[in-house]
Amino acid sequence: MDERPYWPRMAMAFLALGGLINATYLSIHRLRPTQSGPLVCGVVGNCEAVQASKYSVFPPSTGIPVAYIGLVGFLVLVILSVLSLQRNQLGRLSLPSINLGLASVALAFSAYFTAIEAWVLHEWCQWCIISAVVSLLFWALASFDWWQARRATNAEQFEAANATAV
Amino acid sequence: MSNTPKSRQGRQRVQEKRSLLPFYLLLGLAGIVGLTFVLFQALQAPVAPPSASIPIRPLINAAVGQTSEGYWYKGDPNAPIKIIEFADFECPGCRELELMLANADFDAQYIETGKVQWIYREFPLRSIHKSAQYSAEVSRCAGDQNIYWPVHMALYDSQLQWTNSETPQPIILDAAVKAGANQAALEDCMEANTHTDAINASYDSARSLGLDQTPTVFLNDDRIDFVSDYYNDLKMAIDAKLEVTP
Repeated sequence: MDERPYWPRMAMAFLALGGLINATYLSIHRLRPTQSGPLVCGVVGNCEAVQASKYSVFPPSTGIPVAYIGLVGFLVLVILSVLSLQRNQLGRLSLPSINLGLASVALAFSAYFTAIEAWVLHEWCQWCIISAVVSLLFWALASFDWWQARRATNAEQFEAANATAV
Repeated sequence: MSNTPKSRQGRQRVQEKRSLLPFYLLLGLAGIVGLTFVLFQALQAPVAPPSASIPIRPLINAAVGQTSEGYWYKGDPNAPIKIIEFADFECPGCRELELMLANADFDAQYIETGKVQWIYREFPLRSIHKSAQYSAEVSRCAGDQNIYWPVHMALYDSQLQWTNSETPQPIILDAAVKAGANQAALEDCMEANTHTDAINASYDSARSLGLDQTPTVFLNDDRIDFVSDYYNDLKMAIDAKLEVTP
């Protein structure tokens, strides 16, 4: 294990957990729309409209509910964040790189849905906004951690090169 | 002798694992609490399906009137419990609240027994509900005809019919008339924008209190956090208060 700080990966795990809880809430509403009570109405959002729109599934109209995609995605991110506290590699791939790669996919997804809310639906759902903010913060931390890991690897290589030179 | 590089490494790893233990415990705890809360909240089955109609009480056997700020209330103004509801006639959550209270005969249990004074403050979420302002003004116009509460209930009851309609206003007026309002007087009142300023002021005051969602309910100035269903949470909060101040 390298010497890079633990806190970014710990924060990533907590963020992904927050995203997972958020996605679980929306997934349950998706699964039992008639049985569960309506979400409260907020000035900043209209979740009913967003969740009822054709964009609440991906690809639009015919795909998988976005809430489920979020649920699986955040679950994977929680597991990988915790795993990256214990090891640096997953098979032949470096975990910080996997984390950053998946965080980038999540961020791209969030950007797409935020754009749909802003320019197509003109409606906002606070739960989707929470998810987008979580994705953004997770991506920032994953980038930082990836950069730290790369720096540590470079330093190790440098030391190894020096050792052989001596 | 025991300080060989290998054993030092091993010790370090054990220490690392130990230092991560509080993190794992905290993460696990946060996960359990968060998911339990979400499951508990989302799996609560409402008393009635959202589309059920709201039984309208034609007459409330208690004091009914307007506060000094113009908000309609029902129940004894000297009741030990004062509930203030900030709500929007077009909000499905507010409809659900009305539906639950009506089905549980809340008025008979708490309003007509002098335990609770209920004050309704209009908080029309105009940015997301196109008829929120209109329906609130209709309710006030009905109030001018001394038929506020039946029309109030009728507006919530008919919400599903007008909220997605292209022409909601006639449906809203029709619901008010069916609940007993005089159509001509109602139309005059609406045309004259009699209560537009009052509803705007009500909206502004809710915003200035920092509120951003409906229904928001205060019980003697304490905000009620709805965690299970509206009625249960409300009943528990009221009963707890009544036990303290009989």
